[in-house]
Amino acid sequence: MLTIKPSRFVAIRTFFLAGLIMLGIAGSAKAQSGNEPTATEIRAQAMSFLQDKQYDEAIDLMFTYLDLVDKSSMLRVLEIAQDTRYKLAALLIQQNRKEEAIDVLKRYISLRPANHVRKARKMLVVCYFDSEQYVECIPAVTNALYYNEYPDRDPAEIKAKETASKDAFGSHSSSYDRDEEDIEPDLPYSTEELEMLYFTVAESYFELSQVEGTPYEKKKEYLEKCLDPFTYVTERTQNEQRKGYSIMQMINAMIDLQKFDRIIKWVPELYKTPARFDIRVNLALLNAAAALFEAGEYDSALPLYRMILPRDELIAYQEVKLQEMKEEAGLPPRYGDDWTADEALLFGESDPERQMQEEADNFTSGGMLFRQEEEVDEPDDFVVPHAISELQLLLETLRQMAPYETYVGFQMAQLYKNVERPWEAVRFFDQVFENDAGGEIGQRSVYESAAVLMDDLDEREQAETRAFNYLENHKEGTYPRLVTYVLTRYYQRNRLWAGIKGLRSYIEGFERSDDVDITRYDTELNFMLGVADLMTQQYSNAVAQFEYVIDEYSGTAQEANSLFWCGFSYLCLENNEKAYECFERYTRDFSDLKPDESLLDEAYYQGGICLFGMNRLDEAKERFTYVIETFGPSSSVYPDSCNMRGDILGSEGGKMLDAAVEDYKHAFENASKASQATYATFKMCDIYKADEAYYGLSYIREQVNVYLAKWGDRGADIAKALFWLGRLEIQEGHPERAVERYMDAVVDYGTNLRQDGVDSMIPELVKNALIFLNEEERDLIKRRLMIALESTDSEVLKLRLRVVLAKFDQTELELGKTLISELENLNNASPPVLAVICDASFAMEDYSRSEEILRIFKYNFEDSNFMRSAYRLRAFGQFARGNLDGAFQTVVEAQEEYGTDATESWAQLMKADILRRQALLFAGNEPMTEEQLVEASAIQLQIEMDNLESTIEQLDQAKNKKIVDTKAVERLTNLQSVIEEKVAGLERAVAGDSFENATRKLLVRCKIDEAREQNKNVMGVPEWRGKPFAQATYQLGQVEEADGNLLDAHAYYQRVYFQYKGLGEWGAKGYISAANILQKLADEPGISEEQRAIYERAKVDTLGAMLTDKYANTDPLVETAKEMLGPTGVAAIQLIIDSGIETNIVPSLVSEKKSGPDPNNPQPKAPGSIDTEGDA
Amino acid sequence: MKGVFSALLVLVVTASVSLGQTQSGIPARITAANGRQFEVFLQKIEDENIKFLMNRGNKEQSVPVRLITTVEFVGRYDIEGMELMFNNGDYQGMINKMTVEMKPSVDAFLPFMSTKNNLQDLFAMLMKAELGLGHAARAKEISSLLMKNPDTGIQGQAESIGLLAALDEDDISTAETLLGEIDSDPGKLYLGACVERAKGNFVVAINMVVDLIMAYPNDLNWMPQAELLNAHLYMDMGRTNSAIQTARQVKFIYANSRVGTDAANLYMEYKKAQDAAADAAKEREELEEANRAAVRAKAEERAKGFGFDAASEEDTNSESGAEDDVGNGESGSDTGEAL
Repeated sequence: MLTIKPSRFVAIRTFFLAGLIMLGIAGSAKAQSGNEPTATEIRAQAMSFLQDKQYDEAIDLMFTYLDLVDKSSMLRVLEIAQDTRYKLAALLIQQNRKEEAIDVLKRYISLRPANHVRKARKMLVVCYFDSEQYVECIPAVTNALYYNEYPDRDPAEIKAKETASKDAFGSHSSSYDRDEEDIEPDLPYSTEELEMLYFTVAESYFELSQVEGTPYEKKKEYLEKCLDPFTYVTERTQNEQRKGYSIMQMINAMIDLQKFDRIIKWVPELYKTPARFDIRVNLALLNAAAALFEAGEYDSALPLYRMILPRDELIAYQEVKLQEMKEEAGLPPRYGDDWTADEALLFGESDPERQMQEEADNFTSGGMLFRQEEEVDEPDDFVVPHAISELQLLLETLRQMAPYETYVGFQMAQLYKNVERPWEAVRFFDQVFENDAGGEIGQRSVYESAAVLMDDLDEREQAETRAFNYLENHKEGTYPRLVTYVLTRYYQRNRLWAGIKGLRSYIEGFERSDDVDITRYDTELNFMLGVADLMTQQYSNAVAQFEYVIDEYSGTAQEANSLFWCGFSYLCLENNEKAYECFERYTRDFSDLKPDESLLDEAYYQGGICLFGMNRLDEAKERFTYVIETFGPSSSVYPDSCNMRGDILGSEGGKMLDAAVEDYKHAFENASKASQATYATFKMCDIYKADEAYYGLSYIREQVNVYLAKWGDRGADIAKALFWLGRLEIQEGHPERAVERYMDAVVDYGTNLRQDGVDSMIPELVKNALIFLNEEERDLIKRRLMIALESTDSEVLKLRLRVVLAKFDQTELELGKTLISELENLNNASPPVLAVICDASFAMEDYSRSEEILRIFKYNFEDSNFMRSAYRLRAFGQFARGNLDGAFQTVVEAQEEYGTDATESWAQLMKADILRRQALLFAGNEPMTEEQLVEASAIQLQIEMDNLESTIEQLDQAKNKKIVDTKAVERLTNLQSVIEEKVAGLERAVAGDSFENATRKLLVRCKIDEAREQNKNVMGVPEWRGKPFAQATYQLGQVEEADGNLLDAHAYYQRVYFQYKGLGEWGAKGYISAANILQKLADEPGISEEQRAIYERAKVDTLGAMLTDKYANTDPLVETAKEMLGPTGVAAIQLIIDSGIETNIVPSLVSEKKSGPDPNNPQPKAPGSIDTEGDA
Repeated sequence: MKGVFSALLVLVVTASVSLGQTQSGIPARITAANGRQFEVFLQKIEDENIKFLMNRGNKEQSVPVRLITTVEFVGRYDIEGMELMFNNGDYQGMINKMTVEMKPSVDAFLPFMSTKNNLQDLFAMLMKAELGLGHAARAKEISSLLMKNPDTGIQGQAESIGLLAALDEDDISTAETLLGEIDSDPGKLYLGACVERAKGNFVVAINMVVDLIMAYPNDLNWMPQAELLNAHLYMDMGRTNSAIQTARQVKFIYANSRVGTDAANLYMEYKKAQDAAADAAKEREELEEANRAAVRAKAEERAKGFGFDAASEEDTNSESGAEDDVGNGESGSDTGEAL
């Protein structure tokens, strides 16, 4: 377009035109007897209205004008019309009449001349977008962008050029005086404008994708298409807020597209923008993260959750921002709140015009971020900028929301749990609980935390701490039950029945509810209490507990189970009548349960057991027959029923033996467990053996071989099988074959680390070889073992065979020592190998691997008989290091396993000795803090409570027996009183309600009494006659000595050297200790000289007796005796010895208490004090 | 005559210098405290003094280090390329490239790392790369110099790497001393966790890392390596699955970063180990089953003499032990056995 320079010519032309117009107006005014205004007049009037801000009127007239000139082809008219259109469009937009603006703009763009095509296209885009016409908006944007690049290719431009070229006067008229403004050049879009356009098209695509009913493929297409323009914006914009918003929208799109791997790239970018403080972004993050979580896209969800700001932090940030915005907008700082008088004075006037101008500027410059909405007119005439009102609304929404960080924390905890990051999960759950202890999410978190700790991390103590703290304060609802259930599940899995019992107070303290789920949990938990009692052999308690469940939770799933196990508990109490009632009731009332819930066949079977126990054999036989015929081989109790009926038939003897054998055969053929097959097999063997004349030994051989063939590698009792076969061979005069069988078994089954039967055959093999074979035959066996050792690849078998060979040569200790240094790890060491290592370590007093070996046994060979050595080694190791508590615990465990077996006296003796030492510690001079006293008292209290519970249980059982042992009842009743007294004292001590001395005395008393009791218990085990008795007697002396009962102590020591002198060191120890006691007695303050002399004399006599005692005078302790006697004393004794006089010097002292065993505690009688006196 | 001789001598010297004789040392531009800049050839640092030759000079000059504000090495170094290698985990590649480009040698630059210079970030990367390759002593050597750098960010990095290098050499005592000097709170947590790990306190260590995750979830200076440390800790605790999952997550979340690359390598390593263990277990089981089958065959042969054919017997469900689960209401005979 040519630029018109103002000149004289222009002025003349202007006046000329004005004159024409005037004439035109005059003419038209004259013609207004018909009187229509001209187009020009209309336009002028419109401009006038515009100036006067009478917008509606201006708009109407503009439309009228445009209608009038629409058909004109005069260039000038076209120019003016286009100019008018442009203004009209702007005005319509300003007046929010965007639909109309769209038509006007479209027309404007399609015609030429048009001076503001780019701007018009941009305005068209905004109009479409604001009126949510996204489908149209998109091409409007693309067209604008295309025009921006290639304006010459625009069809309207092309057409205009063609028209101009044909027109001889195709020049732009310069006569039109648009004095409102100069013509602005239609410049290419600025960076901001381009940004706005890309942003708009991106948003349009996104909005289209969210329209309900959009087909999925179309939705995907829209989402894909929005990504590039959003990317464009994020990469170029300087507006961080817009950048953040665009990233957030892309993330939302990628979630919908399930392009989760692409999300992660944008998260750090989002974090760098201030958009992370945007409320909507945070809420969008919340939704996006939740969507990802639901889709299992945890890796993508986690960074989003991490980015979400806590609600309070977000509110605080935005409140500050809002203040700043208000100040910038000239609003009162507390706009929206009640004003003070000063604020009204300062801020009483608004400036609507300025607000409007700002809005318009914001609009046309593309500064809009979100959709333009209606301005808010406040009653006090303030016009609030859109951004402020929007932020206020968002803040209000946020304030009304509950704090979501608890939810976010919980989700993150769940996420960590799901991806197997349990430590993170636990900590996040803990934090949620801390923030919401009383709420549902908080309570759920405790449950989840405990479950992860127990089930995943095996961190029992930590789980218990949380669980118990929670359960102390929460008694109602589902979650306390769930938490308790987590604990019981763990305890059950690990057979920690005492743990379940420890939950009793919590379970009983729950508030009852009619809620179905809660009732279900209560039933289950109470049932588990009964199971725990049953498994800890507290049968009376088990009965009571099961009966409670039956009564209180009738109709629930566990009623039937409780009835069944109640019957079983009665069986364990040997109360067959009551047990039978339970089982019969079960068969009556619960015959229609689902197969996987039903114990009907079991109940019938157990009923048969009860009848058997009541000696109602015919009924029992009938019952077992019923089970066999009704439930058939598919029932798990079929083999057992066959076995039981076989037993009954076998007891009838005669022809019934065949029938019994048939039953056993059925049991064997249908056995599903090794135990069933084992029972049947050896019962048959018993019959075959008993009626050897009828059956013959081949039946035994056949059955045992068949048993081994079928069950050899599935848990068969190989030892027993080989024992039978071996016995046969020996009976038939072929002991070498028996040894061979044992050897074959070791070689065949010895590659398996867990083969207890083979392990128990090893000593049998060696024993029989030594007894029955000559040297040559033994050498042959050894050679064969060597060959097997050299030819096998199995390290497990190699080690086993080395043990066998060492046993042959009686070089086990040497082998053990070799293996200690040879084996870096014990992965291939089977129990006999480990036992050899233990014994060698014990001999060398090397306890360095004791913990490791015991752990291996517990984890891998918990049922092995060879574990004894490991327990002993471990306990002695701990004892040697002074870890009395540890040693005690080990001893207790060993005793739980092996009880009073012949080889286990060491455990009982060590236990008793530890108790004495613990008593001495309490009685010692080492000061103890209050915490230490309370802790020690608490531990002892627990022990005494267990003792009390056990005593009461024993008392109940004693009273409930058919034939009551009154002495036992009396003893237990007395014991109960003693223990209750201790318990009362310890409770006071735990409560801090006792002095230090009193507490220590009580603890000493408890330990001394226990030590005494435990030593005496040794005497009650006949298998422990010999050295264990000697040691126990000696230790009793030590206990009495610790308790200050010197005479009693002397009596025990005396008994040791009198009764047990032939048993190694004990005689000598007895002598020395007795002498020491006598010296102590002599040194006691306040005794008479005469008495002192008696004690001194007795001491000399005692030591003299030792020197003359052939059993004791070769012991190293004799040197100690000589030192105590002194040279003169020794010389005197030597004189006696040299003179050949035999002595029987035994000092006699009378003790204050009975020195013999407690008559109420059955023990072998021991002599009291000895009254004979010997003369030199 | 003497004057003529001297003049001639000066001419000869000047001519020989102006003939472009090469100066030894590292070309650099130093900025003094008074703002003046000098083009020099750096020689060494000795007794807290920088020794250099002036450009075209041949007399060694000496200036206290404290009077030098910055050192700008003026050689052509492809720093971006080295950084890319570092971020891709190609530590050896980066070191090789430095060796080629940094003349006369990388070590010649080292003493100057105690001053503020334009290559300090690169040498900080070198320090980390050396540690990443397991060259703890070398990493310590570089860190000891960077610790003296006036830039606190560089100091912090050097202290961290110095600590980690000490741990690599099992020098826990030095590591704990350095830990006390760490300023950053998340840094203290991360490095403290490393120390606890070295002491075998895995649970304590992992909880320290979780403290960091909870308090500083978006701190990209410490989070990536902290989370990767958790992967190692899980493996230390024998929790292979957790270790693999954590490594995988770190690989994903911090993709395109050095830690992400390290995590990817760790993930592959753990997966391979897990697969190898599973294969070995399977092989062992197959071998044991073969042995069991052989023994069973022998026993069946023996039993065949009596007309028993084990193969014709139906397999019944066998139970290896007397396990019972009373609570689930299984067979009472099971419980009876257990009791």
